Amino acid sequence: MKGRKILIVEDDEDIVETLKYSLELRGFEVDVVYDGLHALRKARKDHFDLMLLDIMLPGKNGYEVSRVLRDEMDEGKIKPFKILVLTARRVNSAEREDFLATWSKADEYMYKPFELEDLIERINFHLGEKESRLSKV
Amino acid sequence: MGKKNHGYPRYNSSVKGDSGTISVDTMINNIKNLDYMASVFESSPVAMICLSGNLRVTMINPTANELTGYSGDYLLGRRISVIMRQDRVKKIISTIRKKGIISLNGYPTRFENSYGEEVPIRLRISSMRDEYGRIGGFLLTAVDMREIKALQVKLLEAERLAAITETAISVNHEINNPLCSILGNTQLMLIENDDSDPVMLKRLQSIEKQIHRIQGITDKLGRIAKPVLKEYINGKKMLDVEASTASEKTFS
Repeated sequence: MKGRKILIVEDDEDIVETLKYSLELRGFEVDVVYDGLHALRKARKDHFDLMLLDIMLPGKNGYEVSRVLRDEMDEGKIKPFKILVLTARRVNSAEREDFLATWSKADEYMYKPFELEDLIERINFHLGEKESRLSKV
Repeated sequence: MGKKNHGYPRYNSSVKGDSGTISVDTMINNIKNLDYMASVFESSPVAMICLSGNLRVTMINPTANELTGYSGDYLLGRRISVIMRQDRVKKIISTIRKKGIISLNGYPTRFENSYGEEVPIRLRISSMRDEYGRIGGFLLTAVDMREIKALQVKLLEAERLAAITETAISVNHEINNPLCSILGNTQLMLIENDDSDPVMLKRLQSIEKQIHRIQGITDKLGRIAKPVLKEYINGKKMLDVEASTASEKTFS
């Protein structure tokens, strides 16, 4: 995991602190932005291997951020990276949930609250790593 | 019911010729017109009652008979006060007279029917004037509001249930964010205290267990398909989370 860079896009400082600490503990390099517009700027300026993206963000919501960045990756404007959406928002329609997930073009959705172990496992999966330092809870 | 019950012969008195002499053809035409008007009056789904200038019933149609519970024979010639408080009608009629307007619409009031029940109605009162513009009587048209009121109650209930659903989904969202932070920190502490204090370990495991319990509830709140209420205490109702999430159908 050393040298792998993760950008956390999340407006809740407590969640940011927990995530940052957990990821740094596992050797990831972590950067943080707190709103959608800064996420776009940061992702265009610096390269990251993976973005942990919240949905309910100030400025621009996570669905839009994900779609814009994926389109720019497809057009070759920015270097490709994985997008893992972390959301507390659950709409009460499975169809609508599927539609938003497809529209946003993110790699995966995880719902809050999630197990740290599961998050690390999914990050490793997307980064092609098999190893996880935590045992299953 | 026959025509006599509704008092139709009374309007024959208003049939007049231009000079007092009426030809047979004119009379036949007038009778045809009156028959046509009688048919409209009789088949109207709206309750219609004609009043004389001194507020006595001169005509009443079957819908009004049904609404008031009184027969035409009983009501004809009686004061309107038999079926509704006279001051309610007088107030409107006084406005019509003073302002010289033809009718006043949409006045919510009540009939008192023959069973002693109050029937909510929306009342329209129109003045009936002669060729010189003098008021000779009044036409009351009344719409039964009972069905509308029942629909309003159902609509309110539907709105209330929709609000419950929205609130439940919002609560789910608002709780999941702090819960994410609490669960993350608890799990970090569990990892870091893995081999140390067993009492601390037990407490942290208890916290983690309860977080998962809350998580189960918020998950159900976010999946509410159709809100079902159950009795709580003192007549209050509470959301039956299990029953509300039982269906896979979406609430829209």
